[in-house]
Amino acid sequence: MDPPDLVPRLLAGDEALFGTVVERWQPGLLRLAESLTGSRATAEEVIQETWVSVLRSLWTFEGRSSLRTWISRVCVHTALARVRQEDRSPVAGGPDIDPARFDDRGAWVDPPARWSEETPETLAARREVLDCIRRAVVGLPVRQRAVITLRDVQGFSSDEACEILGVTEVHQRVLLHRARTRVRSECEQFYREAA
Amino acid sequence: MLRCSEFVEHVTAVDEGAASASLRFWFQVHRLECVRCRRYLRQMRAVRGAMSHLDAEGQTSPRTGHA
Repeated sequence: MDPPDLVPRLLAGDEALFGTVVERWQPGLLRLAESLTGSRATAEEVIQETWVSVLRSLWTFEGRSSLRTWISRVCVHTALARVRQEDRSPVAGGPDIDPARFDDRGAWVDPPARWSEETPETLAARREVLDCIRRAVVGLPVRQRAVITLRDVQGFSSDEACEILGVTEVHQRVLLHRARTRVRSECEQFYREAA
Repeated sequence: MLRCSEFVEHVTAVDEGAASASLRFWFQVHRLECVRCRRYLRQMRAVRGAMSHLDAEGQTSPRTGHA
């Protein structure tokens, strides 16, 4: 949690402290915004807008979440406003994996093949795999992209991700599941082509 | 009993600690007896774990210590 005097000192205009906060959180926020908007330039605009909004509305901060979570929420909302057109798609039902991969009793007919790397460390050690994962994340619908970036890339908790995105826990989990499933499928495709 | 097609749909619920006790039970039973789903689960978890390296590595921003 934040030190208790963090927000009061920011509200009192402690510029050095504000500078420290910006320096500490800017890189993560920038990656978050870049992941959501798919563009470095747009992400930089989003971040500028975010800090302005933060300064303008800091007095409304009630401390129910950490300041970092609250600022991330401002950042996500600012970024999502830029990519609003694809944002309203409801969560469709239906399977995340091609149903043709299972027989009519639900058993694999096209099972997952072995990959030459199957641990986080070995996967991450291969640049092509990381690039594949990055492309897969960018290709996701924006709300899935937001959830998986917050949770799996940036390490926010489920509660924090719900708070930042303003979604229920169940909805968050559905988005996360689809996103993770899709990203694994892209890796599978990568290994099929590499074989 | 859980089928393979159901197992893959419940991976996230189980990993997020959101599965009911009975789902957790049948999930573990299926995991023990199905080598294919075991591989699927291993790959899902590996990809998820690898994603944290996206934040640490690269891009153009400077590194700062996370509190």
